[in-house]
Amino acid sequence: MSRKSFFAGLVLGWLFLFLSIYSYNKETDMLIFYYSDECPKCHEALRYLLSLETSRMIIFKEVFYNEENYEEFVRLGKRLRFDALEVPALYDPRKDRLIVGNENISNYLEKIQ
Amino acid sequence: MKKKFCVAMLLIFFLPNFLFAVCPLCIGIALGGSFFSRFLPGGKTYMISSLWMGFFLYATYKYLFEHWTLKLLKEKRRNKAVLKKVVYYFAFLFFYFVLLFILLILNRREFHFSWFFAYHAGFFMPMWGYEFYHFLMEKNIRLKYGNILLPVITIFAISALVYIM
Repeated sequence: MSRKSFFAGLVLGWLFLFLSIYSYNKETDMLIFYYSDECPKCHEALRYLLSLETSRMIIFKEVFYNEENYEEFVRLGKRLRFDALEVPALYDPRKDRLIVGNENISNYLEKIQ
Repeated sequence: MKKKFCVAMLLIFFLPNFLFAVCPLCIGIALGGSFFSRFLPGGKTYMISSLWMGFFLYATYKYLFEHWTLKLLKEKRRNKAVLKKVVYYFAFLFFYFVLLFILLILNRREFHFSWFFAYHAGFFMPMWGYEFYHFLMEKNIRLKYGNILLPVITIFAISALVYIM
């Protein structure tokens, strides 16, 4: 047995694994909320999210007037195989899930709290 | 759709056969794991995939290292030994960067430390498993195909751990 390789594997393997999981939790700490300024349901969801106290940061992205956000939303929908995209929608990068609709969003947020 | 099906069939049937013909089992398993882990659902797909790519790098390195070491031992002219070591070192670096580049492409050209670290964990964890096999051998515990099984079990266990956490 090569003791050098054994200890290198043991120490560096666990160290990199720990760093990887730690970085993943940091990178996916935020939730992304897609909404439209022209949609009344989105305003309801916005009010709900602003009043909510969560441990995770929420990024708000408007998709009706902002083309860049819209394209990002479409790309995300395509990747997650959504036939039709709807707002309000909440994206959780940690689970790679897109939750659509007010009720689903509030249920999901209660579940992950 | 037909084209995709043909490519999938080609990958499933011909590529493993080709690989097993020229490489040891470990490389085949590592490549298969790297390929199939792309279909895992959830947000951690790219991390698991990076782990397996790290394992692929380790398996390749191990195969080449052993292959070349045997050649080196057979080599009568010792004056070329240093040059060969330099060549092995650059070959390893080449594989390391090529796989890193492939991972970057697969991960939507976004660099994240999570997959970068997972790639290295995937390299070092099987190394631990492989040396553990030798450790057991020193203690007179002999496992059939242990040199392949232990690194593979290690990487499977770590993948499951990452996926659950």
